[in-house]
Amino acid sequence: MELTIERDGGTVIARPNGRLEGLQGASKFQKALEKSIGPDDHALILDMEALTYISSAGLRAVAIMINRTKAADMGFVLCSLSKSVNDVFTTSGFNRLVQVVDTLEDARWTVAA
Amino acid sequence: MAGEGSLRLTPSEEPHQESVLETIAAEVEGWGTREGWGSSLIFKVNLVLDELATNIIVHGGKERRRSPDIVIEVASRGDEVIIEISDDGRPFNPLSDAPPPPAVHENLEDAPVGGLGIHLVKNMVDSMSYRRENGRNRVTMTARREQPVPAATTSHRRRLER
Repeated sequence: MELTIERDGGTVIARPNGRLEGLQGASKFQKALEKSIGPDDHALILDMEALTYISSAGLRAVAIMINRTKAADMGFVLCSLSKSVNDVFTTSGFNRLVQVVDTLEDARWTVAA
Repeated sequence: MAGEGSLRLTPSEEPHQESVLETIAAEVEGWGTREGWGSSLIFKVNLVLDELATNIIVHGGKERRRSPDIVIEVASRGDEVIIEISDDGRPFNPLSDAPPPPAVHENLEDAPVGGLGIHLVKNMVDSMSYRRENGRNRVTMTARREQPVPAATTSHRRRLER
């Protein structure tokens, strides 16, 4: 999996590309996300458009980021989930832990609000 | 089970979870493409085998000091896929022995690893059974191909939402 980071003002837009799986893979992903956030950032958007696979290991990485962003008083929004990835979020109940929206544009509006 | 595809993940002294997951993903993709499962069923079968194999590798070998021998068999029957995974690790019934899934209000970082993955498996398959025989755990599951929603139902639903 590759992770591209883009910064728009104080908003970090992270785009995982490929498969988010395995305990090591998930931990690497989570650490890269944490490193991408600076002290002045106010929101993190996880754009999942190019994410083709996620397992419980990936969900745990997302769970850690929910806690980190909450602790830093940052916004955290997920967008552009494929149907299968979205199924994993609803089946696990994660859609109730973190905001999930349809498009990147919606995500930008959500963190700006 | 007469398999459309079968896969044996041989035990190793140092289990490499990542390479096992790569193997599973590649095999499932191959079977599913050949059988025309469609992408969401391929995803589902991959996820189920990923979670169960990970659980076996992480927890199943503790007493035997090596990762268990894992055999996966998959067969298509009509609209259904039958998935079977067996291992010679310590007895573990995912239907009754898995820790409960972490509650949404809990601190998920500290929740036990197995609970979430097995919760996903149980809720994504259409049936699941377990038996222990000849020193092996054997989990058999079925997953159905998703049917396209009939046009009439779709329009009815749209009307209700308005």
